[in-house]
Amino acid sequence: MSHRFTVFLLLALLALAAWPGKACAQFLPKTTNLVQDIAPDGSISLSMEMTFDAAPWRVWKSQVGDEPSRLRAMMKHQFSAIVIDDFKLEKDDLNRTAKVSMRSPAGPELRKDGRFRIPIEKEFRLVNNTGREWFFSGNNPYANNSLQTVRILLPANATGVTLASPGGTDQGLIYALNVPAGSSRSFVILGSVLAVLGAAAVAAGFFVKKPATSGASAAAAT
Amino acid sequence: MNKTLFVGGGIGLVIGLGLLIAGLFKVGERPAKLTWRDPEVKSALLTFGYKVYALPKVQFGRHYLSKIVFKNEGEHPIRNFSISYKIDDYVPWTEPEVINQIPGGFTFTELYYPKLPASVSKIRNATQASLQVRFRWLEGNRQREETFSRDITLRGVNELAYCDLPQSEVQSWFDAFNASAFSMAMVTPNDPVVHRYTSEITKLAGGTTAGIAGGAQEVARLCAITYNYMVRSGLRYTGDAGVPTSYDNISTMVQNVRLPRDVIMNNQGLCIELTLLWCSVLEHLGVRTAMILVPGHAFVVAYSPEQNMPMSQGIPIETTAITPRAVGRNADVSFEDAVKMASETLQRYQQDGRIMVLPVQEIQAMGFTPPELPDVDIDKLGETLAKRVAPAASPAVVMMPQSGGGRAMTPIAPAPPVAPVIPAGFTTWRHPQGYVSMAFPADFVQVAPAGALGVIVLSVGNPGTSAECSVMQVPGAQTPQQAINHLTGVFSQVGSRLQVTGSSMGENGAVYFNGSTTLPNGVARWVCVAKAVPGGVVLVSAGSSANVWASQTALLQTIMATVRFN
Repeated sequence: MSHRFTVFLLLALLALAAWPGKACAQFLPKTTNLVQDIAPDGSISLSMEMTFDAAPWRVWKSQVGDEPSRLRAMMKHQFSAIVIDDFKLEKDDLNRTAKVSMRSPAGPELRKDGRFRIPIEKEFRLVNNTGREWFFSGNNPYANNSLQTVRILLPANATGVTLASPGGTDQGLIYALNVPAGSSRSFVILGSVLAVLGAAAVAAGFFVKKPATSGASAAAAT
Repeated sequence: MNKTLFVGGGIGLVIGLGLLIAGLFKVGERPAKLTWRDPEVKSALLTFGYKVYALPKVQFGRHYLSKIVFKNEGEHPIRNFSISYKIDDYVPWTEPEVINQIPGGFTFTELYYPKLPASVSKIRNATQASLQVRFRWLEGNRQREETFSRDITLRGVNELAYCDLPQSEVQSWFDAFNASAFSMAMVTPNDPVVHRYTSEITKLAGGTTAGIAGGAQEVARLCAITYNYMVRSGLRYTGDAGVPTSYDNISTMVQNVRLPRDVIMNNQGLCIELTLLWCSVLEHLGVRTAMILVPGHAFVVAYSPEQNMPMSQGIPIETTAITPRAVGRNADVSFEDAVKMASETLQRYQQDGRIMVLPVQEIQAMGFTPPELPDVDIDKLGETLAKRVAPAASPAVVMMPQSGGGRAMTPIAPAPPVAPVIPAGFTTWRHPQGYVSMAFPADFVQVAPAGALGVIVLSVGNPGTSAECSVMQVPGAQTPQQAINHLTGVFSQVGSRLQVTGSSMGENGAVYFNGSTTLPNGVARWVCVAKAVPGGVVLVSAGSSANVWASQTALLQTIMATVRFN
């Protein structure tokens, strides 16, 4: 099952004016930076920061930016295949930037083989990666080809990360999780160590005689 | 014996053994446990658009039937999770989707996009059905299973719901019609009924090349002839406002919208039904269309970007003008007036802002494709259609967009009469057996001799401009397509590659093709009309080098307009 939670969200941010027949090019952002932070439990924290020129900023605010509750409702509707929680919109009039933050409890695709997949639209090309952080950039075809960067932070315990089908329609990051051992394993290790040491101490206590110097010292004192 | 060491060691040993046993028995760990949120199931499906629901990529996947959010609340993995769905007799239990392992603490969503059978398009009235969902999983070594069901409504094939937004979020006209894209699944250019209806129109048109050549003028001529055919065949507009309906937390207008085939058979329709019929007919003929929705009304715009006629310069047509009273008139409304009315409406609502443009091909390409429809008796339909058309007809007035763009339309030429007018400076030519006649510029010279390649009957042209026309005959071919296939083989033997890029049905079995031929010295573009004659198929083509095609189109069009099969 494909759960798309990526670049198309930009379109949704323009949702109020993006109905058929309405031109939205006039309020598109100049740039968009998207950050997806993926947790080991499959949840995603997403933030999207957009910068506008003067005229689009005014239009964007009147159409979308000044109605965050409706924006959230429209996003939930258009992206109803995804669960969206904790929606937050921050605006900075001085710098003409807007930042949208949200969270979804269910992000990555769970594959049959137990690994996970984060879909990346084919329009985005890999720029760099540091193992856990992956950077992509491209032009969003659903937002008048405006420039967009995508930064994906994989869980700290992600292993075997690969970019599958780069540049293709099935482009995506695939990874596995190094699941930490449960508390029982710590108990076993600690218990084993304590038991061995305890057994050694018992054995030592049984065979080693208590020193007699303390009795002689007492006699000398009297 | 060292008592202190002995006792201390003993305590350590006991604690260690305790921890070891606790660890081995996994004391304190949460076992695997699958939980899920209340399943979200759509309560109504539009059956005419049943194909849309099978496509996870349409509109960001929001047309699912069921959504369930699962979570493994435990620390241990859940294994062999599988989920399967069933919808009464319409969809048997689906092949289970299996996930081998769900890690502890992990949350994921399962969406169901049902592949409904074509038989749902036979549902005439809203029908209750039941979605059953079954999922199985392993918690530790314990096999678990859960099944639940939800009632859903399969709407009648003609029921169109315009909105799928929660009522609390509807605040504008656009919101109330946010699901209008579904209506594009009701445009059925490939329905045999539409095909038959269209052939009646092209009979009037004396054939058409609107889809492949002829430019904006040919598109306009075709629209005028379609309009006149509708008037002559007694097609009527009928009104129906639709019924407000509520389900779940959605409140929408549900309208009974008949498919174009039903409009053809009943010979009447609502504005949206007539518009869908127009879209179907013109798309069948290769003309692009868009449905325009404005408050309380719908009409069509015909355009053809391939022939330098973008949507902005398209021809808006008031589809209800076929019934004069519908547009406040007492006498028949001409095509010219129908265009004028639609242009005015378009302009008014462009200023108003409440206008929705639904381009058929773009929206169908998204996945809103028409349903598979049951067979009907086409011969009987043909007889019915033949009886409808009155013998006398007013001449079609052909509309042409002004070259400067904009919406104003002016009549420029009447529809061509049955007998071709031979332009000045042209010479006529007739097939030796009288199968076909045509005319071409008198200064054309022979390009290839008769009998060349075994198919050429006539090949003349202007070497200076590369414009050429040819008549070919393929003996033994039974259909125009067979003849084209034969020619493809013939051309490949001489190092050329013939490629057909489009075709369209003409009258009396004639078929129009367009395409290109890759020659050793360049690429040529051409249009062609082919028709079966006794003993084979005769083809008449006109073309030029691809790089001068635009400048030669008018001449080639004129040549093709003189072609008459006997």
